[in-house]
Amino acid sequence: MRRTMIVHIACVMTLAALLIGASGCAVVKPWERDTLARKDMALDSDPMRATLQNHIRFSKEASLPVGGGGGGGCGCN
Amino acid sequence: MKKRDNTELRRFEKASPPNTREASAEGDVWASAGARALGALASGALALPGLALPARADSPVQETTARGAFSYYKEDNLSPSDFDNTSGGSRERYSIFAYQFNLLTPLTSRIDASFDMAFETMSGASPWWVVPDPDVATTGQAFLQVMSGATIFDQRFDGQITVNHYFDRGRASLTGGASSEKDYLSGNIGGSVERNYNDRNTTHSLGLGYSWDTITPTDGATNHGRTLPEYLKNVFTLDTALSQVITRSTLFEFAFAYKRSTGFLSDPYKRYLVGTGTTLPDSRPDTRNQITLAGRLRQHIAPLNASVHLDAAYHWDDWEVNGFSAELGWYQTVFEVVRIIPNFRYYSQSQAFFYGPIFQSSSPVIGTSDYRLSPFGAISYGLRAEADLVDWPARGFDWFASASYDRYMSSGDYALQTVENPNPGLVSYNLFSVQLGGRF
Repeated sequence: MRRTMIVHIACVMTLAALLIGASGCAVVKPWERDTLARKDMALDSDPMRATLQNHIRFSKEASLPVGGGGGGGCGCN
Repeated sequence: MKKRDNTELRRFEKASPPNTREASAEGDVWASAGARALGALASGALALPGLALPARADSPVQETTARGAFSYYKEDNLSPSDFDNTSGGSRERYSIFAYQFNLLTPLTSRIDASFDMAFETMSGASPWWVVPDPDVATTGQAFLQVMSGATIFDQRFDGQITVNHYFDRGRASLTGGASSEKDYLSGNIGGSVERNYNDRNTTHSLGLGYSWDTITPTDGATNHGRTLPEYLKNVFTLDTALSQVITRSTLFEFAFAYKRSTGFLSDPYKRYLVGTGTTLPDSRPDTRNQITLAGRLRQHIAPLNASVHLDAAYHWDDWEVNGFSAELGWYQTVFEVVRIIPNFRYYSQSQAFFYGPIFQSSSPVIGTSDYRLSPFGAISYGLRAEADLVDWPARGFDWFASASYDRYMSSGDYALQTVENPNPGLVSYNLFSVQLGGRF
C-alpha cells in the first residue's frame, strides 16, 4: 500500500514538473514553426489509429483513456 | 536536398497564406509548413464519445480527404492452466475484424465537416466468472476462469458527424453520432470550443459531451439474472486541454478529462462466485466518476531527422481504480516520405473496491470477478511504417499509406503493486492494421 502511494505521488509530481516546464517558454514566431509543422510532431499524427487504440483500451482497461472511448459501444467481453 | 526543397515549395504553393488560412491539425504533408504548426498545436481536444473530434486549426481544410483502414484484432487463447475445463466453454477468445472510414471535406470558407464510420465483426468466447483451482497445491494456480462457448457473434456499426466553424483565433465544433450492436445502442452529442493566445503559441480547448446507452441483454442473458428487457446508462464528459509551444522544436500539452457515468454499469454477461458455491450476476455501483490527468510532449531531434513522442497519464475514480500509463514513440523519417515508428507503452492499475475475484460472503451487495477491474499491469509494443506520396501520379493527387503491428500483454507480474492472485482471464492480443488515404 505504501509502495503504491509512493508511485502515485511520483506520477503526479512528474506530470506537475512537465506542466511547470511548459510555462517557462519563449514566444515562437509563425515563420519559426517549420519544425513544429512536421507531421511527426503532431500531437495526434494518426487520428484513425488513435480512435481504434482508445476503443480497445476502453474495452480492456479500467482507466479513462486520454481521447476517451473512441466511439460508443458496449466494450463487454 | 534539392528534392526536399522542391517538396517544401510545392507544399507552400498549395496552401494559402498562413496568417489567414491554416491547415488541418493532422499535420498532413500536403499542408503548408507554417500552417501545420498550428495544426499540431490544435489537436488538444479529446475524442470522447459525444465530444468533438480532435481539434483542428484555425481554418477548414481546403481539399477533400478520404481515409480507409482495416484492422485484425486477435486475443490469445486462454492458457489451459488458467481454464476451468470442467464447466464446458471454450478457450478461444475474441477476434475482431474492424473497418474504418473517414471523409473530411470543406463546406464553406469557414466551415468543414468530418464523417467517420466504423464497422466491426466480433466472435469468440467470453470470460464468465472465476472459481478456485482444486489442485492449487500442485499447480500453484489459485483461480481458474470459466468461459462461455465460442459461439458469440456480434457486429458493431459506429457513425459520427462533426462540423467545425473557424474564427480568426479559434474554432467551435458540434458532433453527434450513434453506435449499434445486437444488444447495445448508444447515441451521443457534444460540442467543443478552442482559442489560441500568445501569438498562437498557446491553445486552450474545452469540450462537453453526453451519451445515452440502451443495453438489451441477449444470448442467454436470463441465465445471468438479467430479466428486464433493457437497461439504461448515461455518460457526461468534460475535457479541457492546454497546448504550449516550448521552443521551435518542442511542444507540450496538458489535458484534464472527467467522466460521470450513471445507470446500469455492470456487465450483463458476467457473474461472480460467492461463499455458498453459487454465482450471482455481476453487480456494480450505479454511478462512477473518473478523472484523468495527462501530459504529452513532442521533441524533434534535427541531427537524426527524428521526433520523440512521450505521453503519460494518471487516472483515478471513485471505484478506487488508480491507473498509470506511459508511452514512448520514436518517429524516424527516412527518404523524406517514409516514417518508421517503433513504440512502447506501459500500463498499471489497481483493483476496484468491489472486485473479488470470489467472495466469502454468501450475498454481497455488489461484486465482480471481471479481469478488467482486477489489479494488473500491461506491456505493449509495436512497429508502424507510414509513407506520403505528394503529387503522384499527377499533380493534385496526394496519398498516404501505413501498416502496423502491435502486441499487448497483461499480467499481475507487470503491475506496479504486488498482485498475489492475478485474475486468470487477463488478456493478451495482437493487432494488425493497414490504412490508405488520399487528398483530391
